[in-house]
Amino acid sequence: MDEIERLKKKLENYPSPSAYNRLAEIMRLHGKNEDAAELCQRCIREFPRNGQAYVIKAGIELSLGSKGIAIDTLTAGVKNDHRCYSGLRMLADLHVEAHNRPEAIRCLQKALELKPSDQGVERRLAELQASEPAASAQPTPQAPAPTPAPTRKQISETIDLSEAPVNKTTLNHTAAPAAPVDEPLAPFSMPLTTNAAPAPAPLPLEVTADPQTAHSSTMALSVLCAEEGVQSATVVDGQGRVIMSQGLAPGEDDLIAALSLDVTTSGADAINALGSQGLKEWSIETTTGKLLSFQDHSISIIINADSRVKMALLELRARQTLTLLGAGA
Amino acid sequence: MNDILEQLNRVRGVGGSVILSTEGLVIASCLRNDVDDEEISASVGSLIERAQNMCTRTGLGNVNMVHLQGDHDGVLTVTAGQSYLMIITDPHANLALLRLEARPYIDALVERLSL
Repeated sequence: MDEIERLKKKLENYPSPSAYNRLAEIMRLHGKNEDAAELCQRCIREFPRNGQAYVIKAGIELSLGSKGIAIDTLTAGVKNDHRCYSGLRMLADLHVEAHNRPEAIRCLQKALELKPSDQGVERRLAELQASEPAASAQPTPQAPAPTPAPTRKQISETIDLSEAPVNKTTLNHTAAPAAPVDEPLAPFSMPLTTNAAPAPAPLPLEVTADPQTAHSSTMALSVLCAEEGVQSATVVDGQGRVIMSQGLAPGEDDLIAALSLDVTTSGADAINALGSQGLKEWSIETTTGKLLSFQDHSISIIINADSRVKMALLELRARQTLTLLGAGA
Repeated sequence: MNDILEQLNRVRGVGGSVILSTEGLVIASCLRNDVDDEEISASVGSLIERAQNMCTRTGLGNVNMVHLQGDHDGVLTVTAGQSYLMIITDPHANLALLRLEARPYIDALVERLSL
Protein backbone atom coordinates (compact mmCIF):
# COMPACT_ATOMS: atom_id res chain seq x y z
CA MET A 1 0.00 0.00 0.00
CA ASP A 2 2.94 2.32 0.73
CA GLU A 3 4.20 1.60 -2.75
CA ILE A 4 0.80 2.59 -4.20
CA GLU A 5 0.89 5.93 -2.37
CA ARG A 6 4.49 6.51 -3.41
CA LEU A 7 3.72 5.84 -7.06
CA LYS A 8 0.59 8.00 -6.95
CA LYS A 9 2.70 10.92 -5.71
CA LYS A 10 5.32 10.18 -8.32
CA LEU A 11 2.66 10.23 -11.03
CA GLU A 12 1.37 13.58 -9.83
CA ASN A 13 4.82 15.12 -10.06
CA TYR A 14 6.49 13.17 -12.90
CA PRO A 15 3.97 11.18 -14.91
CA SER A 16 5.76 8.50 -16.93
CA PRO A 17 4.61 5.35 -18.74
CA SER A 18 6.69 3.08 -16.47
CA ALA A 19 5.19 4.63 -13.31
CA TYR A 20 1.69 4.21 -14.75
CA ASN A 21 2.40 0.58 -15.65
CA ARG A 22 3.82 -0.26 -12.27
CA LEU A 23 1.00 1.42 -10.33
CA ALA A 24 -1.64 -0.25 -12.50
CA GLU A 25 -0.04 -3.67 -12.01
CA ILE A 26 0.19 -3.23 -8.25
CA MET A 27 -3.42 -2.04 -8.07
CA ARG A 28 -4.51 -5.05 -10.07
CA LEU A 29 -2.56 -7.38 -7.79
CA HIS A 30 -4.39 -5.82 -4.85
CA GLY A 31 -7.73 -6.53 -6.53
CA LYS A 32 -8.43 -2.87 -7.42
CA ASN A 33 -9.41 -3.74 -10.97
CA GLU A 34 -11.58 -0.68 -11.59
CA ASP A 35 -8.92 1.75 -10.40
CA ALA A 36 -6.27 -0.08 -12.39
CA ALA A 37 -8.39 -0.03 -15.57
CA GLU A 38 -9.09 3.69 -15.11
CA LEU A 39 -5.39 4.32 -14.62
CA CYS A 40 -4.56 2.37 -17.79
CA GLN A 41 -7.13 4.42 -19.68
CA ARG A 42 -5.56 7.63 -18.39
CA CYS A 43 -2.12 6.36 -19.36
CA ILE A 44 -3.34 5.43 -22.85
CA ARG A 45 -4.71 8.97 -23.27
CA GLU A 46 -1.44 10.54 -22.15
CA PHE A 47 0.95 7.99 -23.67
CA PRO A 48 -0.88 6.23 -26.48
CA ARG A 49 2.29 4.42 -27.55
CA ASN A 50 2.78 2.71 -24.20
CA GLY A 51 1.83 -0.85 -25.18
CA GLN A 52 2.13 -2.26 -21.67
CA ALA A 53 -0.85 -0.17 -20.51
CA TYR A 54 -3.01 -1.89 -23.13
CA VAL A 55 -1.70 -5.27 -21.99
CA ILE A 56 -2.57 -4.59 -18.34
CA LYS A 57 -5.99 -3.23 -19.31
CA ALA A 58 -6.63 -6.30 -21.47
CA GLY A 59 -5.65 -8.51 -18.53
CA ILE A 60 -8.25 -6.79 -16.37
CA GLU A 61 -10.88 -7.15 -19.07
CA LEU A 62 -10.06 -10.83 -19.38
CA SER A 63 -10.39 -11.32 -15.64
CA LEU A 64 -13.85 -9.78 -15.94
CA GLY A 65 -14.71 -12.20 -18.74
CA SER A 66 -14.74 -9.66 -21.59
CA LYS A 67 -12.57 -11.51 -24.06
CA GLY A 68 -13.82 -9.57 -27.09
CA ILE A 69 -13.05 -6.21 -25.49
CA ALA A 70 -9.63 -7.50 -24.45
CA ILE A 71 -8.89 -8.47 -28.05
CA ASP A 72 -9.93 -4.98 -29.21
CA THR A 73 -7.74 -3.36 -26.54
CA LEU A 74 -4.73 -5.46 -27.47
CA THR A 75 -5.28 -4.88 -31.18
CA ALA A 76 -5.22 -1.14 -30.51
CA GLY A 77 -2.14 -1.62 -28.31
CA VAL A 78 -0.05 -3.45 -30.90
CA LYS A 79 -1.19 -0.96 -33.54
CA ASN A 80 -0.01 2.02 -31.48
CA ASP A 81 3.10 0.41 -30.03
CA HIS A 82 4.82 -1.58 -32.75
CA ARG A 83 7.31 -2.99 -30.28
CA CYS A 84 4.74 -4.34 -27.82
CA TYR A 85 6.01 -7.92 -27.67
CA SER A 86 3.94 -9.05 -24.68
CA GLY A 87 0.83 -7.61 -26.32
CA LEU A 88 1.47 -9.58 -29.50
CA ARG A 89 1.97 -12.81 -27.59
CA MET A 90 -1.14 -12.29 -25.51
CA LEU A 91 -3.16 -11.34 -28.56
CA ALA A 92 -1.95 -14.48 -30.34
CA ASP A 93 -3.13 -16.62 -27.41
CA LEU A 94 -6.54 -14.94 -27.47
CA HIS A 95 -6.87 -15.41 -31.23
CA VAL A 96 -6.04 -19.10 -30.83
CA GLU A 97 -8.74 -19.39 -28.20
CA ALA A 98 -11.15 -17.61 -30.54
CA HIS A 99 -10.22 -20.09 -33.33
CA ASN A 100 -8.78 -17.24 -35.37
CA ARG A 101 -5.54 -18.95 -36.26
CA PRO A 102 -4.50 -16.75 -39.21
CA GLU A 103 -4.52 -13.71 -36.94
CA ALA A 104 -2.69 -15.64 -34.22
CA ILE A 105 -0.03 -16.61 -36.77
CA ARG A 106 0.29 -13.00 -37.88
CA CYS A 107 0.77 -11.83 -34.28
CA LEU A 108 3.39 -14.50 -33.60
CA GLN A 109 5.23 -13.62 -36.81
CA LYS A 110 5.36 -9.99 -35.67
CA ALA A 111 6.52 -11.06 -32.20
CA LEU A 112 9.26 -13.12 -33.82
CA GLU A 113 10.39 -10.09 -35.82
CA LEU A 114 10.83 -8.23 -32.53
CA LYS A 115 12.64 -11.11 -30.82
CA PRO A 116 14.03 -13.47 -33.48
CA SER A 117 15.73 -15.77 -30.97
CA ASP A 118 12.55 -16.62 -29.08
CA GLN A 119 12.32 -20.38 -29.40
CA GLY A 120 8.98 -20.49 -27.60
CA VAL A 121 7.33 -18.25 -30.19
CA GLU A 122 9.02 -20.14 -33.02
CA ARG A 123 7.70 -23.41 -31.70
CA ARG A 124 4.19 -22.06 -31.17
CA LEU A 125 4.19 -20.56 -34.64
CA ALA A 126 5.34 -23.84 -36.16
CA GLU A 127 2.54 -25.67 -34.31
CA LEU A 128 -0.07 -23.24 -35.56
CA GLN A 129 1.26 -23.28 -39.12
CA ALA A 130 1.39 -27.06 -39.11
CA SER A 131 -2.22 -27.25 -37.98
CA GLU A 132 -3.33 -24.80 -40.67
CA PRO A 133 -0.87 -24.85 -43.56
CA ALA A 134 -3.27 -23.56 -46.19
CA ALA A 135 -4.30 -20.54 -44.15
CA SER A 136 -0.77 -19.56 -43.22
CA ALA A 137 0.34 -19.68 -46.84
CA GLN A 138 -2.37 -17.26 -47.93
CA PRO A 139 -2.03 -13.50 -47.58
CA THR A 140 -4.22 -12.18 -44.80
CA PRO A 141 -7.41 -10.28 -45.69
CA GLN A 142 -6.13 -7.19 -43.86
CA ALA A 143 -3.07 -6.88 -46.09
CA PRO A 144 -2.86 -3.19 -46.91
CA ALA A 145 -2.66 -1.87 -50.48
CA PRO A 146 -1.40 1.66 -50.00
CA THR A 147 -0.05 2.28 -53.51
CA PRO A 148 -2.55 3.40 -56.17
CA ALA A 149 -3.45 0.79 -58.73
CA PRO A 150 -1.46 1.16 -61.96
CA THR A 151 -3.28 1.82 -65.19
CA ARG A 152 -3.24 -0.71 -68.00
CA LYS A 153 -1.26 1.76 -70.07
CA GLN A 154 1.41 2.01 -67.35
CA ILE A 155 1.65 -1.76 -67.12
CA SER A 156 1.97 -2.18 -70.87
CA GLU A 157 4.69 0.51 -70.97
CA THR A 158 6.76 -1.24 -68.31
CA ILE A 159 6.67 -4.61 -70.02
CA ASP A 160 8.62 -4.99 -73.23
CA LEU A 161 6.93 -7.79 -75.08
CA SER A 162 8.90 -7.42 -78.26
CA GLU A 163 11.67 -9.82 -77.19
CA ALA A 164 9.70 -11.97 -74.76
CA PRO A 165 9.35 -15.60 -75.81
CA VAL A 166 5.83 -16.59 -76.65
CA ASN A 167 4.38 -18.89 -74.07
CA LYS A 168 1.13 -20.46 -74.97
CA THR A 169 0.34 -21.36 -71.40
CA THR A 170 0.78 -17.76 -70.32
CA LEU A 171 -1.26 -16.48 -73.17
CA ASN A 172 -4.10 -18.79 -72.26
CA HIS A 173 -4.19 -17.34 -68.78
CA THR A 174 -3.88 -13.68 -69.60
CA ALA A 175 -7.15 -13.33 -71.44
CA ALA A 176 -9.05 -10.46 -69.87
CA PRO A 177 -11.99 -8.34 -70.96
CA ALA A 178 -10.98 -5.19 -72.75
CA ALA A 179 -11.00 -2.01 -70.70
CA PRO A 180 -10.38 1.64 -71.46
CA VAL A 181 -6.64 2.25 -71.61
CA ASP A 182 -6.30 4.86 -68.83
CA GLU A 183 -8.88 3.55 -66.44
CA PRO A 184 -7.25 2.52 -63.13
CA LEU A 185 -7.61 -1.12 -62.19
CA ALA A 186 -10.13 -1.65 -59.42
CA PRO A 187 -8.50 -2.96 -56.24
CA PHE A 188 -9.30 -6.55 -55.44
CA SER A 189 -11.87 -6.34 -52.69
CA MET A 190 -13.42 -9.80 -52.49
CA PRO A 191 -12.74 -11.59 -49.22
CA LEU A 192 -10.04 -14.21 -49.51
CA THR A 193 -11.20 -17.66 -48.62
CA THR A 194 -9.26 -20.83 -47.91
CA ASN A 195 -10.08 -24.47 -48.21
CA ALA A 196 -8.51 -25.22 -44.86
CA ALA A 197 -10.08 -27.85 -42.68
CA PRO A 198 -11.99 -26.67 -39.60
CA ALA A 199 -9.63 -25.52 -36.89
CA PRO A 200 -8.92 -28.15 -34.26
CA ALA A 201 -9.47 -27.48 -30.58
CA PRO A 202 -7.29 -24.68 -29.15
CA LEU A 203 -3.98 -25.65 -27.60
CA PRO A 204 -4.45 -26.49 -23.93
CA LEU A 205 -3.68 -23.77 -21.44
CA GLU A 206 -1.81 -24.60 -18.28
CA VAL A 207 -4.02 -26.05 -15.59
CA THR A 208 -4.90 -24.05 -12.51
CA ALA A 209 -8.02 -24.37 -10.41
CA ASP A 210 -9.58 -20.95 -10.90
CA PRO A 211 -9.90 -19.89 -14.56
CA GLN A 212 -9.38 -16.21 -13.74
CA THR A 213 -6.27 -16.96 -11.72
CA ALA A 214 -5.10 -19.25 -14.50
CA HIS A 215 -5.38 -16.50 -17.05
CA SER A 216 -3.74 -13.81 -14.95
CA SER A 217 -0.92 -16.12 -13.90
CA THR A 218 -0.42 -17.22 -17.51
CA MET A 219 -0.28 -13.56 -18.43
CA ALA A 220 2.20 -12.86 -15.63
CA LEU A 221 4.35 -15.70 -16.94
CA SER A 222 4.06 -14.26 -20.47
CA VAL A 223 5.19 -10.87 -19.17
CA LEU A 224 8.10 -12.56 -17.42
CA CYS A 225 9.06 -14.44 -20.59
CA ALA A 226 8.81 -11.21 -22.57
CA GLU A 227 11.63 -9.63 -20.58
CA GLU A 228 14.81 -9.25 -22.57
CA GLY A 229 17.03 -12.30 -22.39
CA VAL A 230 14.45 -14.68 -20.92
CA GLN A 231 14.23 -17.96 -22.82
CA SER A 232 11.77 -19.93 -20.73
CA ALA A 233 10.08 -20.09 -17.34
CA THR A 234 8.66 -23.03 -15.43
CA VAL A 235 6.59 -23.01 -12.25
CA VAL A 236 7.14 -26.11 -10.15
CA ASP A 237 5.57 -27.38 -6.93
CA GLY A 238 7.40 -28.86 -3.93
CA GLN A 239 7.31 -32.36 -5.42
CA GLY A 240 8.92 -31.34 -8.71
CA ARG A 241 5.67 -31.34 -10.69
CA VAL A 242 5.18 -28.71 -13.37
CA ILE A 243 2.38 -26.25 -12.63
CA MET A 244 2.86 -24.20 -15.76
CA SER A 245 5.60 -23.36 -18.21
CA GLN A 246 6.37 -21.19 -21.21
CA GLY A 247 9.02 -21.29 -23.87
CA LEU A 248 9.75 -25.01 -23.52
CA ALA A 249 8.92 -28.01 -25.65
CA PRO A 250 6.64 -30.67 -24.17
CA GLY A 251 8.70 -32.86 -21.89
CA GLU A 252 11.47 -30.30 -21.44
CA ASP A 253 9.57 -28.63 -18.62
CA ASP A 254 9.37 -31.95 -16.74
CA LEU A 255 13.13 -32.36 -17.06
CA ILE A 256 13.76 -28.80 -15.80
CA ALA A 257 11.36 -29.38 -12.90
CA ALA A 258 13.01 -32.62 -11.83
CA LEU A 259 16.57 -31.31 -12.09
CA SER A 260 15.75 -28.02 -10.39
CA LEU A 261 14.19 -29.83 -7.44
CA ASP A 262 17.48 -31.70 -7.12
CA VAL A 263 19.41 -28.42 -7.03
CA THR A 264 16.92 -26.85 -4.61
CA THR A 265 17.26 -29.78 -2.20
CA SER A 266 21.08 -29.60 -2.25
CA GLY A 267 20.95 -25.82 -1.91
CA ALA A 268 18.64 -26.07 1.10
CA ASP A 269 21.06 -28.56 2.70
CA ALA A 270 23.96 -26.16 2.20
CA ILE A 271 21.98 -23.26 3.66
CA ASN A 272 20.95 -25.41 6.63
CA ALA A 273 24.60 -26.37 7.20
CA LEU A 274 25.25 -22.67 7.75
CA GLY A 275 22.59 -22.56 10.43
CA SER A 276 20.35 -20.43 8.21
CA GLN A 277 16.80 -21.43 7.41
CA GLY A 278 14.84 -21.47 4.18
CA LEU A 279 16.33 -21.21 0.72
CA LYS A 280 14.80 -18.15 -0.96
CA GLU A 281 16.50 -18.27 -4.32
CA TRP A 282 19.35 -19.78 -6.25
CA SER A 283 21.08 -18.89 -9.46
CA ILE A 284 23.58 -20.66 -11.68
CA GLU A 285 25.77 -18.87 -14.19
CA THR A 286 27.26 -20.85 -17.02
CA THR A 287 29.34 -20.11 -20.07
CA THR A 288 26.22 -19.48 -22.17
CA GLY A 289 23.48 -18.32 -19.84
CA LYS A 290 21.84 -18.36 -16.46
CA LEU A 291 19.38 -20.47 -14.55
CA LEU A 292 17.49 -18.71 -11.78
CA SER A 293 15.04 -20.05 -9.26
CA PHE A 294 12.88 -18.10 -6.84
CA GLN A 295 11.05 -19.91 -4.05
CA ASP A 296 7.91 -18.95 -2.21
CA HIS A 297 6.75 -21.59 0.24
CA SER A 298 6.59 -24.82 -1.72
CA ILE A 299 6.28 -23.25 -5.17
CA SER A 300 9.29 -22.19 -7.17
CA ILE A 301 9.77 -20.58 -10.53
CA ILE A 302 12.75 -21.55 -12.68
CA ILE A 303 13.93 -19.16 -15.38
CA ASN A 304 16.33 -19.93 -18.17
CA ALA A 305 17.89 -16.71 -19.41
CA ASP A 306 20.89 -15.47 -21.30
CA SER A 307 23.58 -13.26 -19.84
CA ARG A 308 21.87 -9.96 -20.83
CA VAL A 309 19.11 -10.48 -18.30
CA LYS A 310 18.39 -7.90 -15.61
CA MET A 311 18.30 -9.91 -12.41
CA ALA A 312 16.42 -7.45 -10.20
CA LEU A 313 13.62 -6.90 -12.71
CA LEU A 314 13.39 -10.62 -13.28
CA GLU A 315 13.04 -11.28 -9.56
CA LEU A 316 10.23 -8.72 -9.38
CA ARG A 317 8.39 -10.38 -12.26
CA ALA A 318 8.97 -13.85 -10.83
CA ARG A 319 7.65 -12.84 -7.42
CA GLN A 320 4.59 -11.24 -9.05
CA THR A 321 3.88 -14.51 -10.84
CA LEU A 322 4.27 -16.48 -7.63
CA THR A 323 1.93 -14.07 -5.84
CA LEU A 324 -0.68 -14.48 -8.57
CA LEU A 325 -0.40 -18.24 -8.21
CA GLY A 326 -1.16 -17.83 -4.51
CA ALA A 327 2.23 -19.19 -3.47
CA GLY A 328 2.35 -17.11 -0.31
CA ALA A 329 -1.21 -17.98 0.73
CA MET B 1 46.28 -20.46 0.99
CA ASN B 2 44.70 -19.56 4.33
CA ASP B 3 46.30 -16.11 4.20
CA ILE B 4 44.44 -15.32 0.97
CA LEU B 5 41.15 -16.55 2.48
CA GLU B 6 41.76 -14.43 5.59
CA GLN B 7 42.27 -11.36 3.43
CA LEU B 8 39.16 -12.21 1.43
CA ASN B 9 37.15 -12.47 4.66
CA ARG B 10 37.96 -8.82 5.34
CA VAL B 11 36.01 -7.75 2.25
CA ARG B 12 32.68 -6.18 3.15
CA GLY B 13 29.83 -8.70 3.00
CA VAL B 14 32.04 -11.80 3.34
CA GLY B 15 31.33 -14.02 6.34
CA GLY B 16 33.78 -16.83 5.61
CA SER B 17 35.39 -18.70 2.72
CA VAL B 18 36.43 -22.20 1.74
CA ILE B 19 38.40 -23.66 -1.15
CA LEU B 20 37.00 -27.03 -2.09
CA SER B 21 37.66 -29.64 -4.73
CA THR B 22 35.08 -30.69 -7.33
CA GLU B 23 34.31 -33.70 -5.08
CA GLY B 24 33.39 -31.40 -2.21
CA LEU B 25 36.55 -31.99 -0.17
CA VAL B 26 38.03 -29.09 1.79
CA ILE B 27 41.36 -27.78 0.47
CA ALA B 28 41.53 -24.75 2.76
CA SER B 29 38.98 -22.99 4.90
CA CYS B 30 38.57 -19.87 6.95
CA LEU B 31 35.15 -19.99 8.59
CA ARG B 32 33.65 -18.82 11.84
CA ASN B 33 33.74 -21.37 14.68
CA ASP B 34 30.12 -22.49 14.59
CA VAL B 35 30.25 -23.67 10.97
CA ASP B 36 31.50 -27.16 10.12
CA ASP B 37 33.64 -26.67 7.02
CA GLU B 38 33.47 -30.33 5.96
CA GLU B 39 29.68 -30.41 6.20
CA ILE B 40 29.19 -27.22 4.21
CA SER B 41 31.81 -28.28 1.63
CA ALA B 42 30.12 -31.65 1.13
CA SER B 43 26.75 -29.93 0.67
CA VAL B 44 28.15 -27.40 -1.77
CA GLY B 45 30.07 -30.14 -3.64
CA SER B 46 26.82 -32.04 -4.08
CA LEU B 47 25.07 -28.84 -5.16
CA ILE B 48 27.71 -28.10 -7.79
CA GLU B 49 27.48 -31.63 -9.15
CA ARG B 50 23.71 -31.36 -9.49
CA ALA B 51 23.90 -27.86 -10.94
CA GLN B 52 26.41 -29.08 -13.52
CA ASN B 53 24.16 -32.03 -14.32
CA MET B 54 21.22 -29.67 -14.85
CA CYS B 55 23.24 -27.32 -17.05
CA THR B 56 24.63 -30.16 -19.14
CA ARG B 57 21.19 -31.69 -19.66
CA THR B 58 19.70 -28.34 -20.63
CA GLY B 59 22.59 -27.44 -22.95
CA LEU B 60 23.85 -24.50 -20.90
CA GLY B 61 27.50 -25.55 -20.72
CA ASN B 62 29.85 -25.43 -17.75
CA VAL B 63 28.95 -23.90 -14.41
CA ASN B 64 30.91 -20.76 -13.54
CA MET B 65 29.02 -19.58 -10.50
CA VAL B 66 26.31 -20.80 -8.13
CA HIS B 67 24.60 -18.49 -5.69
CA LEU B 68 22.23 -19.49 -2.91
CA GLN B 69 20.27 -17.03 -0.81
CA GLY B 70 18.70 -18.10 2.45
CA ASP B 71 16.67 -16.10 4.93
CA HIS B 72 19.88 -14.83 6.51
CA ASP B 73 23.12 -15.97 4.95
CA GLY B 74 23.94 -16.70 1.36
CA VAL B 75 26.54 -18.85 -0.37
CA LEU B 76 28.40 -17.74 -3.46
CA THR B 77 30.47 -20.42 -5.17
CA VAL B 78 32.75 -19.55 -8.08
CA THR B 79 35.19 -21.60 -10.09
CA ALA B 80 38.85 -21.14 -9.19
CA GLY B 81 40.79 -23.11 -11.75
CA GLN B 82 40.05 -26.79 -11.18
CA SER B 83 38.58 -26.05 -7.74
CA TYR B 84 35.81 -23.92 -6.30
CA LEU B 85 35.88 -20.96 -3.98
CA MET B 86 32.90 -20.81 -1.66
CA ILE B 87 32.11 -17.49 -0.01
CA ILE B 88 29.55 -17.12 2.75
CA THR B 89 27.76 -13.81 2.28
CA ASP B 90 26.03 -11.57 4.78
CA PRO B 91 22.30 -10.83 4.33
CA HIS B 92 22.98 -7.30 3.08
CA ALA B 93 26.04 -8.02 0.98
CA ASN B 94 26.33 -6.19 -2.33
CA LEU B 95 26.77 -9.24 -4.51
CA ALA B 96 27.84 -7.41 -7.64
CA LEU B 97 30.53 -5.50 -5.77
CA LEU B 98 31.57 -8.56 -3.83
CA ARG B 99 32.11 -10.51 -7.03
CA LEU B 100 34.28 -7.73 -8.39
CA GLU B 101 36.27 -7.44 -5.18
CA ALA B 102 36.74 -11.21 -4.92
CA ARG B 103 38.28 -11.44 -8.41
CA PRO B 104 41.91 -10.66 -7.43
CA TYR B 105 41.70 -13.17 -4.59
CA ILE B 106 40.38 -15.81 -6.98
CA ASP B 107 43.28 -15.11 -9.35
CA ALA B 108 45.74 -15.40 -6.46
CA LEU B 109 44.17 -18.70 -5.39
CA VAL B 110 44.26 -20.09 -8.93
CA GLU B 111 47.94 -19.18 -9.13
CA ARG B 112 48.65 -20.83 -5.77
CA LEU B 113 46.64 -23.95 -6.70
CA SER B 114 48.45 -24.38 -10.00
CA LEU B 115 51.88 -24.41 -8.35
